[in-house]
Amino acid sequence: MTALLDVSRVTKRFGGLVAVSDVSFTLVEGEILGLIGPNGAGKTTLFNMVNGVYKLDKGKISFAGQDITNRPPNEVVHLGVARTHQIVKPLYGMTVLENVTVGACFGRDYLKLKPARKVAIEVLERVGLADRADTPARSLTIAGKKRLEVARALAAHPKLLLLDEVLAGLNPTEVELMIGMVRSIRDSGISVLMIEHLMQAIMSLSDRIVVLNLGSKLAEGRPAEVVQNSDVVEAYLGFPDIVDKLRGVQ
Amino acid sequence: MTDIVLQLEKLESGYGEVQVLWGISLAVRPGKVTTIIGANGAGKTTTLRTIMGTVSPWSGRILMNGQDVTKLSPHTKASRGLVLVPEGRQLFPDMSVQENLEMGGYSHRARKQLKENLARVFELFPRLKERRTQKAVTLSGGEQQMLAMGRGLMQQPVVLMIDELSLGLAPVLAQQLFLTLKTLKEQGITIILVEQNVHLALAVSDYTYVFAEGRVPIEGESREVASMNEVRKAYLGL
Repeated sequence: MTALLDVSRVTKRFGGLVAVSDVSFTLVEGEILGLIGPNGAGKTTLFNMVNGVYKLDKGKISFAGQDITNRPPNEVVHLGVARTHQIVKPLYGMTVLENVTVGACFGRDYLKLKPARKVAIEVLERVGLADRADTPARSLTIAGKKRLEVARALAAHPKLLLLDEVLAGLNPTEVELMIGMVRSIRDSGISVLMIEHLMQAIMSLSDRIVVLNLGSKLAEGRPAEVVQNSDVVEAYLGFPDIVDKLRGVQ
Repeated sequence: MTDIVLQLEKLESGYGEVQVLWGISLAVRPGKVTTIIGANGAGKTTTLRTIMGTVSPWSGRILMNGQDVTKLSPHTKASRGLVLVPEGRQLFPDMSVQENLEMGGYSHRARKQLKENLARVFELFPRLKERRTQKAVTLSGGEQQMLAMGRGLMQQPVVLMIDELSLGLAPVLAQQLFLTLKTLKEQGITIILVEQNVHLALAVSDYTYVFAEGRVPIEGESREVASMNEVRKAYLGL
């Protein structure tokens, strides 16, 4: 059980604001690691540090035994780290298939157009978008766009997939489908690091969970341990009696 | 009909050739929270946009305090106190927090009370007061949602429509915003809420419409809707 991803004491500042402060964690190969925490905790910033969008102020990040600290995003994806974005970012002028083909062209294998398209078709089958292949990306529903994000990342043939809130905005049925998809991705040998607010989902999916708060690591452990941590309840999970509080005025 | 602030009668609309709303009828009572829930693509956001007029109604009627406002332009409706807090917040990213709020308070009906309204918003969201000089783009997701609500409140809404209050927010922040909503309701503001967090939406609201494919197959007191088996199964995951 060696660490596939090793994030060691990383810090990121924006001007006077310390967005991520001295955070360390590891992700073991084959693992689904959940990353949770209040808004502004530094979760997406951490993703941006791992995949090279942001330069680190301090610390070190290793992937599959290689130092990837401050490597640019195109190199990081080539080494096998692909990601989705919280705010879906399809190439709006292209079809669904073209979007995913781009992912395969600029992924781990730098495929030429024809093999890239073949991979894209396979991936679309896998995420249930095959019948939308020729649809313009812009006309997909939110659920469709989220799946397209996952498809484009999968087409990069990653060893590690970073998922940034792929469940936000989905209804319960769509959430169930996406949860099944994440499981099958892991079962196919891809490790997963995922940011998610939907607690039931992240609890059932994750092997372990890292909790961030105000840029620092607040807790880490198995889901059942983390939900009982009083710091986590106070900073993140909130009031268990919220429904009664809201109903009080009626 | 004075106990209904806003009424939709068999409203139909859509985008281009695509019809989204297939005859939406609903009634909003003053001082109440009316919730719209339903799957993606059911027409919730389109309904709010059609009420506001940014999407034109194809047929049907929209009545505000008994007056037909169906054909009025969005800015005319806004000047009568119809306010939309849009999905995705749509703030002015490079303006400061206070400037964003002032943009909301600039309408003719609200301008005279600009100072009082600003004080009220800052009282409701102390966080916005702390950050009044900061650019909106530097706010966290939760703070941006506070700002979008604050900007809406600056218009002195008769009806405040909120599209996806809690989308993408951490549980504790979503809960805080829902408690703020409760405060607004206690202050007598009429609210229409479109919300994915069905649990909290049903808890805070008085009356609920369940949308499906541009129609309203289920409606009722929120308490009753919350206990319906089909709703519990489809929306509450129970």
